[in-house]
Parts: sequence; structure tokens; C-alpha cells
Amino acid sequence: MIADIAPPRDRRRTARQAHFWLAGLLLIVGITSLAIGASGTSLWSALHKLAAGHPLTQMEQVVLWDIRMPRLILGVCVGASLAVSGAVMQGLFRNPLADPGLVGVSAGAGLGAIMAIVLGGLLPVGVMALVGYWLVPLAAFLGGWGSTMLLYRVSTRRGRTSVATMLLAGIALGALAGALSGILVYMADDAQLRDLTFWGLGSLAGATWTKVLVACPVIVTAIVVAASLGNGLNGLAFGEATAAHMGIPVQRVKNAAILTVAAATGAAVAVSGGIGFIGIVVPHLLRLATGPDHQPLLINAALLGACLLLIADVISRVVIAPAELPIGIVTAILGAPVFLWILLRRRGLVDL
Amino acid sequence: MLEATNIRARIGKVEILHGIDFTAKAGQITAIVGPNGSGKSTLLKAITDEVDFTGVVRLNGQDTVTMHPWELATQRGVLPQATMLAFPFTVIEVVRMGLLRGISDERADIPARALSAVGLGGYGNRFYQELSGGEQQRAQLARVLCQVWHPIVDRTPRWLLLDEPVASLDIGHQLLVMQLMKDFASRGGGVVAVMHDLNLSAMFADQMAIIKAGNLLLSGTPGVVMQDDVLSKAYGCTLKVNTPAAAGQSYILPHLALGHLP
Ligand SMILES: Nc1ncnc2c1ncn2[C@@H]1O[C@H](COP(=O)(O)OP(=O)(O)O)[C@@H](O)[C@H]1O
Ligand SMILES: [Mg+2]
Repeated sequence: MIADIAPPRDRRRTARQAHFWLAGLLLIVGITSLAIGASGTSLWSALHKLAAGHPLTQMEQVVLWDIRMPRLILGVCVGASLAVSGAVMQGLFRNPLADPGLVGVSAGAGLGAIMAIVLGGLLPVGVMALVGYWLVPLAAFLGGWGSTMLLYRVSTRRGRTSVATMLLAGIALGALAGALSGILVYMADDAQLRDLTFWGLGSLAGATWTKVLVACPVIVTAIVVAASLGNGLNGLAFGEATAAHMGIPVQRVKNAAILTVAAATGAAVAVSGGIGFIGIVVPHLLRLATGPDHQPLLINAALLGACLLLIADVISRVVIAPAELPIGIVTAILGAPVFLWILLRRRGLVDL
Repeated sequence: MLEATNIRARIGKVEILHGIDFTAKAGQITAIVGPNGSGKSTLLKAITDEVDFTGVVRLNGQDTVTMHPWELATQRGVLPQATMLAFPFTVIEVVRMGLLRGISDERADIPARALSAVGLGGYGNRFYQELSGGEQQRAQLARVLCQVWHPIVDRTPRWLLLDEPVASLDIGHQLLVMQLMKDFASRGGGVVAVMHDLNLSAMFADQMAIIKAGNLLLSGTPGVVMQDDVLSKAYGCTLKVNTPAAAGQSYILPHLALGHLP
């Protein structure tokens, strides 16, 4: 045996170093995102004023604090949430192409949002007064949650979840949610249709501190729980039986994975609509770069997902300024070719 | 001591095992043999709680149903007949997974030693998915070895439960792996292996159990089990066992079809 000629290539070190590189990148992208915008308000002059002790103008306050800042925070949370949900789902399904979009979680959340937009007017005035702006986010969140619960009921027998059943049930659920959404769209009037289209393409444009307060605590909690699932998901890569033999509490890991995905996806879809491809592309790129070990992967996915979504958001704001593109279009244009490339590379491997 | 009592296992609606009593002692290799589809893998899966079963399985005196996954994992390593990996892990990453409960400095070198032990010393940074079937099986064995590296801990034996550990290996690596199992047993650990090869079983095992159609046909030392009538009945064809006095070890020479038993 020609052992130990090449020094052992240890991807764990690279993966851990990536935490710092990606955190640095996120800082730079975040500052850029604050500095760029249609209004021409300058982050630098505002900072100069603050440093010199001068008060900001009303305009600067509104643009930087009430528009760009919540948008930045929401972008970070949503990007991290999409990428982490993707990574967790892929680990759970043992399939690098799995995604919350695939198992009907996003579709369920979407149905909830559409119901809120089209049927919200039918609610009693008292209820409307109570939920107000929270109606669409809340409904999307409940839709994602409900579809995950239903999916889970269908595919779990005696405490064991069958991944194949779950995948197929997810496709059926997604189709059902899509059909119901179609009926609702058919019923919608013109104003509602515009709302629906805008929401469906995905956007961070409507970011407010309210949305930040609704979504971010849920997303942050979900990501923290997900980050603790690294070892469990590594074990699941060997199959459920072998994972159990390694000492992993398989059913508990699966429950936690499903719940975190539902919460993170529901919250993200609620505040930003259908932003695709982050959940597939980010984990895949990271696996290529630093290996499939979920422990560093989940943290790196959160960081890179946040970076990429912020970059896509900046692009969506500058390409046709002063108007802006829905960010879902940008992520689709950037992400779909990468996704196809992944499929082409995997064409030889037909295993599930 | 590993004791499985009155094991009935079903897969779907079909009962595969019809009430098997099986015991294995620490410090020994116990081979499970029998024709294809007789239920050898299913027996191992029942013992390791992978299929639904009735009956009782005791590992070192403790009912396994009452034990936590991590507790079981510290007492026994299980090698499945084949393992498909979902993601492109390298061989050393796979083997390190046997140390899931955290790598202390004292244990950090175990994965590399386990890899050398199965003859994959230079393979650590290769991708698992790019290995041959036999190499994959040995890499998985190295992972399982990591999990129960010391055969005895706190005077409690630990167990290797292996489904066809040598079936896809060449003869050199078959002997290497059998010797590894023998070594583990001689240092006090328990080894249970589903075996395809009767000659290798007779050569290395201390006890053999023959399964036929979901029932235990016979168990005992190789001397008891390696008998013409027993094997002929088990495999449904005429077999001739030779035991040269010089070697003291029974073996079967392949014959051209000598006629199937009714
Ligand atoms: N997943 C399954 N579904 C249905 N039948 C199965 C399944 N797995 C095994 N069996 C059946 O159980 C019997 C015993 O299988 P197994 O224990 O794998 O045999 P072997 O002794 O070759 O390891 C065979 O008849 C096989 O067809
Ligand atoms: Mg078998």
C-alpha cells in the first residue's frame, strides 16, 4: 500500500475557515446593501454626520433606518432560512435535489398567502382589525405548517417516517395546493391579481420593521435548532437503520428537521413570496467546496444564503433603477442554470 | 452474551422468521449460515431492531428494547450487507463517523488505524462512492470497528454484528477480515457474522447456526454442523464434507450436481 504520500486532505479545517470568510463577505455585502438604493441617500455622509454629532435629515432617517435597514435584516434572515431549510431537507431525504419547494411546504405556504389576499375581505371586520397587516404572513405561515403536518401524518407509521412516501405525498400535496391556488386566482379581481403576481415572484421590497419582528425570531430559532442537527443528518446519509446503529436518535432528528423546515420556510415564504433556487444552489456549492459534513455545512449555508440573497436584492434594485425587479426573477435567472448544471452532472447517477 | 428468544419477524404481512432461539457468547465468533432467502439477514435485523419482531433480545443481559440508541451504539457495531451513501464523503470521513460521540485526543488516531486494519491504509482521501463493492464493505467495516474499538470496556464485552462481511471480498482480504474478527473475539469481544462461505465459517467460527426457511435447523460447533446430512438437508442438494485428520478442519469440495434431494 502506498500510504501517506500525499498529506491528508482534511476538509474539516477548510469548512471551519469558511465560517470566517463567509461572515466577512456577509459584512461587506450588508454594508453595500445599506449604501445602495434608488433614493441617492448616502450611507457615508449619514455616518459622517453621526460621527460629527450632527442630526440626520428626515429623509436620511427614513431611507436608511425605515427602508434599507429592515430590508437588510429581512434579506439576511430569508436568505439564511432558504439555504438552511434546503440543506436540512436534503439531509433528511438523502437527496441533494430535495428542497422545501419539492415536498409541498412552499406550495402550502403559498396557498395560505393567496387565500389571505383573495378571501381576506370576507373575514369579519373584528378579525381584520386584529390581524391587520399580519394577515398574509400569518396565513402563509399556517399554510406551510399545516401542509408539513399533513405530510408528516401521511408518511409516518408507528413512529417511522418513510422518505419515499413523504416525497410522493409532497408532490401530491403540492399539486393540490397549486390547484386550489389556481381556483382562487381565477376568483380574484384585478387589484388582487396584481398583488398576487407581485407576491408570487418574490420580493423584499415590502420589508418593514413589522415584518422583521414577525419573521426573524421564528427564522433565527429554526436556524439555531437546525445547526444542532449536523451529526444526526450525517448519520442519516448512511440510511435510517445505520444511523440508529451509530447511536443517533433517528426519529427525534427527523421530527426536529421537519419542524424547523416548516417554520423557517413558512416564515420566509410569508414575508418574501416565492424566492427559488437558494435552497438548492447554496448547499450544493458548499458541498463541492468543503464537503458534505452537515455540521459546518449548515452554518456555512446560513451565511452564504444570506450573502447571495442580499447580492440578488442589490442587483434587483440597480438593474432597472429607479424601478426594481422582483428578487425571485434574479435568483431564478442566476440559480436555474446552476440547478440544470447539477442535474446534468448527476445524469449518470439515477439513484434516489 | 447475546440472547435472542423466540424471534418471530415479519416484513409486510409475511412472517419471515418463525420463532428462532439464537445465542452467541462473547469471546467467540458465531456464524449464521443458510441458503439464500432463508432469513439470515432478517434474523440479524431483528436482533438489531431494524424489522418488526416479537420475542426478546438481550445484549449483555439487558433487554435491547429498553436501551437508548447511544447506549446500544456504545455496546455494538452493526455492519449492513451493503451501504449506499447519499453524499460524496471521503473514506476517512466515513470511518470517522464511527466516532460520532466526539473525538477525544486519545481516540483521534483510531480511524486511521481501523482503515489500515482492513487493508485500506492509503484510501483515506478517496471518495467512498468511487470504491469497488469490496472496498466499500471494508471501509464500512472500519467505521464499525471504530465504534467498538476496544472489545471490552468496564468488563462488559462489546459486539460486532456483521452481515456478510466477506462475501464480496477476494480471498486475501477474506482471510484478513476473518482474522480481524478472530482477533476481536480473542480479546474478549463478541462477533456474530452472517456468512456465505461454509468453508471460511468452519475455519474461523466457534459456533455455527444454520437457518432454513425462517427456522433454526441446527446450531453447534463446526464439527457438529459440518455434516453431510445436515448440510444436504439445509441446502437441498447432496454435499460431501471432508475432514482431513492433519488439518482437523472440515471443508466442502464442490461436486458436479450429485442430484437434488426431494
Ligand atoms: N423488504 C422485503 N420485503 C419483502 N420480503 C422480503 C424483504 N426483505 C427480505 N424479504 C424476504 O425475506 C426472506 C429472507 O430474506 P433475508 O433475510 O434477506 O435472506 P438471507 O438469508 O439471504 O439474508 C426472503 O424470502 C426475502 O424474499
Ligand atoms: Mg442476506
